[in-house]
Amino acid sequence: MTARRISGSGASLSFSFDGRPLQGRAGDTIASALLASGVRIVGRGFKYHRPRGIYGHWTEEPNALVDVTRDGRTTPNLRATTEWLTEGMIVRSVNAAPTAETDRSRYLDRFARFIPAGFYYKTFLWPDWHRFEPSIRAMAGLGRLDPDHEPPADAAPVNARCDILVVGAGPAGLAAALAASRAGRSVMLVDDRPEPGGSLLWNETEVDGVGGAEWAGAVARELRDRGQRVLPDTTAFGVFDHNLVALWERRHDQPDRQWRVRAKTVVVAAGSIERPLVFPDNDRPGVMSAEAALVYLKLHGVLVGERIVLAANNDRALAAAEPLRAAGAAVTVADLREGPVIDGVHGASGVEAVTISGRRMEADCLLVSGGFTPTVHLFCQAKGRLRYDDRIAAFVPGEPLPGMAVAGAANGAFSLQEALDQGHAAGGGNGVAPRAAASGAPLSIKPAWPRPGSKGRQWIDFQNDVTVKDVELAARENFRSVEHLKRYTTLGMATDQGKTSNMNGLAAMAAITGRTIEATGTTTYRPPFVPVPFTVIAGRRRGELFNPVRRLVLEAEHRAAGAVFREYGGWLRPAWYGPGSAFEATLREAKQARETVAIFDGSPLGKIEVMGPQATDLVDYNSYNTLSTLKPGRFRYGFMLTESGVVYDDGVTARIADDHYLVSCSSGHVPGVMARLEEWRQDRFDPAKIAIHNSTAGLATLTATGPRSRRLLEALALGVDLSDEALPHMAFADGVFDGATARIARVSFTGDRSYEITVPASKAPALFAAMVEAGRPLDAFPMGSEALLLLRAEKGFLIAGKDTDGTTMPHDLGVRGPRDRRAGEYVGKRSLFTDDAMRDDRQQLVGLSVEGETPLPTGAHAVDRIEGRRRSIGFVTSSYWSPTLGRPIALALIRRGLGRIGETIELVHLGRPLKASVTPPCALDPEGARLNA
Amino acid sequence: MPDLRQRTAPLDHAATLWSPRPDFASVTIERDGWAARSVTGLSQCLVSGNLAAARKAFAPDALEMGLWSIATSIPILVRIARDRALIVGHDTGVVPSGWRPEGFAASDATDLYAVVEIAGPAMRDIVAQATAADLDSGSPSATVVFAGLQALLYRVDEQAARIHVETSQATALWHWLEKLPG
Repeated sequence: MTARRISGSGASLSFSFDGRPLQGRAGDTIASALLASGVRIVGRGFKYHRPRGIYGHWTEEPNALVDVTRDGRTTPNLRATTEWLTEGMIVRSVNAAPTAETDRSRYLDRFARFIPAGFYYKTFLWPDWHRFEPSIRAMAGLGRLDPDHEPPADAAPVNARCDILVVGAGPAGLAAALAASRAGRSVMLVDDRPEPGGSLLWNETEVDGVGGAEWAGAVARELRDRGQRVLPDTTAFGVFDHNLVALWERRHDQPDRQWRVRAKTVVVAAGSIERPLVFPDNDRPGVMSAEAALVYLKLHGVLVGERIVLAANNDRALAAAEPLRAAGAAVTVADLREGPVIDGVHGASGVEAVTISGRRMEADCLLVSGGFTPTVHLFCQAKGRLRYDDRIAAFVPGEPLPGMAVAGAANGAFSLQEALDQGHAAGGGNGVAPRAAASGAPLSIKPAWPRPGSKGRQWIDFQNDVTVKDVELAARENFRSVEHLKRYTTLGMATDQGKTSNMNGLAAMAAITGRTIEATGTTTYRPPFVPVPFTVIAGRRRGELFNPVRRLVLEAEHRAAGAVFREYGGWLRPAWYGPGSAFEATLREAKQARETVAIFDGSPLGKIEVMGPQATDLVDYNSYNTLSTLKPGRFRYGFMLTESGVVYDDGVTARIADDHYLVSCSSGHVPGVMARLEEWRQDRFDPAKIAIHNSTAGLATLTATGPRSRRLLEALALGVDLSDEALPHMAFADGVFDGATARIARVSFTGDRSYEITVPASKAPALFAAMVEAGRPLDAFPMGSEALLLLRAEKGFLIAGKDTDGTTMPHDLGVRGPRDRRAGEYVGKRSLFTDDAMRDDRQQLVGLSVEGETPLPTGAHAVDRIEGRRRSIGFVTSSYWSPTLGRPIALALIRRGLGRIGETIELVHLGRPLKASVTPPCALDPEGARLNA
Repeated sequence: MPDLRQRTAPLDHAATLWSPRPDFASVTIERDGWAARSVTGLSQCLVSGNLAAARKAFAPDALEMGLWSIATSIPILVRIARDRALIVGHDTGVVPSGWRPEGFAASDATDLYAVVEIAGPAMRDIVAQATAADLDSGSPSATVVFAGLQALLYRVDEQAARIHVETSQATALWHWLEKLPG
């Protein structure tokens, strides 16, 4: 093939292909630059490594996939036909080594008969598929990923609305956009090429008295002047519910953009894609789409051959002969409507000759056209159904969809005037549609579908190396539906998604199974229409924007105090403070907390206000423990159950007034508890009599815990009587700090005397500073969450979700009172009396103690043996080294645990056997004397 | 005591992943066509139930704001749901939380929501990246998902948007704005 550049101008650009330095020019795609340089072999087939050349001109290209290096960064698997050439580009073929031309694996084609479609289901199974898998994958992959190429998160997603979104700026789309704009509607017009016009750019046409391309430019200008949005280089790649269309806008000096457009009407004017003819060795380099030859000539000044044979079954493709002759090629036309048949192509590395109906012709390029397939993808993604129009041998949109119109070639209207008329109507146009100079006749085509049972290897899917014989094989194996054909042979599953192969594949299957093409049908259309970079989909929400944690108001103060942060329940909180490892710091803090006084930021703990005349009823219903008997000024600890009786969360509830409660819960469960309270508020009670406010983020809570905690509170002088008579454990009182209400609550998660001070969040910095200052003579210090988790475990205090699992019910935790005695209804009550709930071998929360100094591994399973076989009877839920007790402690859920206190049990972890004794959960101060110490 | 130190610290990437919470009293962003600042000093009160009675009690002159409404003065009543609203800019001082006999509940929300203002000719482009809501059609409720966060969105001027987000999520919003290109 002697493709070469014959016309046009532009700045010269240097690039390389497979290590060979070449020249292109500004305005080239990589493909047009390769053709202009006479490069024939651009890649190797996926399985058989046969040489492949450029077939098409745009997104339908199946062969020319390349890895492109720009500015030292490589992007794999780009389509050479849709990538614009830039200076210094390094382009490499994929699936070939060392180059596409000299690929080492080309011998694979000799073994083709052993590697048909689906060979991997039947071969390489013994002794173990995994031994062969890496080599097979290495030989049958595409591009190579560059692990250093981490694109920035800078593709901004933009939301937009309009009356009409027109997809495609060819004649139909331009007519639609123009009509809609002149009718006063807001219009967005998108086209994946840089200039509007579509097929007007490479066909000799006239619209409204001027050349087609000129008319297209004028329409685009008018649209922009009227404030409409015209987006070039933009692909509409998916349609989603309610006319949401996703666009990928390519921009050159800025990051790409993803548009999410909600349009009242979507006009699909996406044109059509030329499909190849199927005949022996139709995959040779030099066999190209006839329309592609025209595009390369008109847009890039590249003539694809000197001696061209043009074989087509339709008049639209045959019309390419004249322009090619005018450009200087010798063109022999084979009009397949009149009976000739392509017997084959000669030349292993590229077309040298073509034999048609027994006559051999020397040629360096064979242009083929088997017809045009309307680009109906967006219509089908929106669940539109197709019908087969055998006059044009094409599937076209059937019943129209509300809010969507299809116009032009995408609708099977291949003549220019029809396209303009349909576009004009779809845009809701008044008056007369734009006039094409030539009236244009409908497509004249004689179907030339693949013939099963023919000899030779005839390619249907170039990218996945699928032949007619593979379709026959699928049918023999009883994979006869198009969906099974696709998955068994992988026809249509490559990065081109069958744009040039689906029709030929289903027509072949129709012929084999004796069905009509209509009855055979198409496979399901799904987004994206073309491969879209992950950067465009992911947008900017990466790194810390991906799933941001909630922040404490005191974060700066904690950082200044040397906090190391971790994520807890969706919040960023101090895990420990100061230097040293997690282990050292945690032990130090936990030890000191029981000796002096620790200051802990407990702000994330839920603070949900339930208010109103029916607040008591709701709070009682929501809780396992009765709360209506709680007196104002007091707290009660309890559980919230699911309707299955499982412990959802635990926490304290405070009664502030008869009609005002503050429900606390784990910081990570706040949205869940809010949702459940709200659900019952609306479903069971009178919403006009209850309000639920989540005040968690507006209030900060600082806890002082330890033997010196009361002295710290006294030093703060908040105006509250701190005697144990006035403020006993589980009571609260309101004081004042810096002019704001400071609620002081005696609640303890450490088991030591504790005070939780809650103030409006804006007062937190001053309160923290005051506590640090007041605490100096008391050896007060800031404490992190890790130490707190250790301290509570010493007391056997559970963490819901850590020391309980999806089956744990309140009586498994030793809390039986409400189940046994509470009369009223509450969430989950009836589930506590099922057979399963009443079993006597349920897992119960207990403590475990060990000999020696090594804590049990969290998650280690306790086991017993039944007839010599080991089975799990529970597992370790929390495990720490206790600095106060000087020994390891643990909590576990163990079957019949509460009945085994004192027994020794066996555990296993990663194959190692362990032993422990079962104890009550509380390992330290079971009488609770430290609460008031 | 045996050496029980962890060999690895897989959780501690958290320390380096999250950049610090800004000082909302002073931070601003100045860009081509838009600027952002944190609005401080606004009183806020969350009310649920009989909204007419709540307005009467706290801010009788308050104008009701829905999505994208323009508030030309304060106080305003920003509608959240059929029976919930945020009263902003009232001058009745800190509201003690609780149920009122007129049939509504009130909680002081001055520290519950952070308020960020984005202003300038390019404000609309920024907002178009943050929400898919149909702003021109508006909505009685000012609630939207803004940059992935639950928020209230209205304007104080043609080219100035106000966003209320929970204080604990204000940092996420601010980082989203800071990382906008341009």
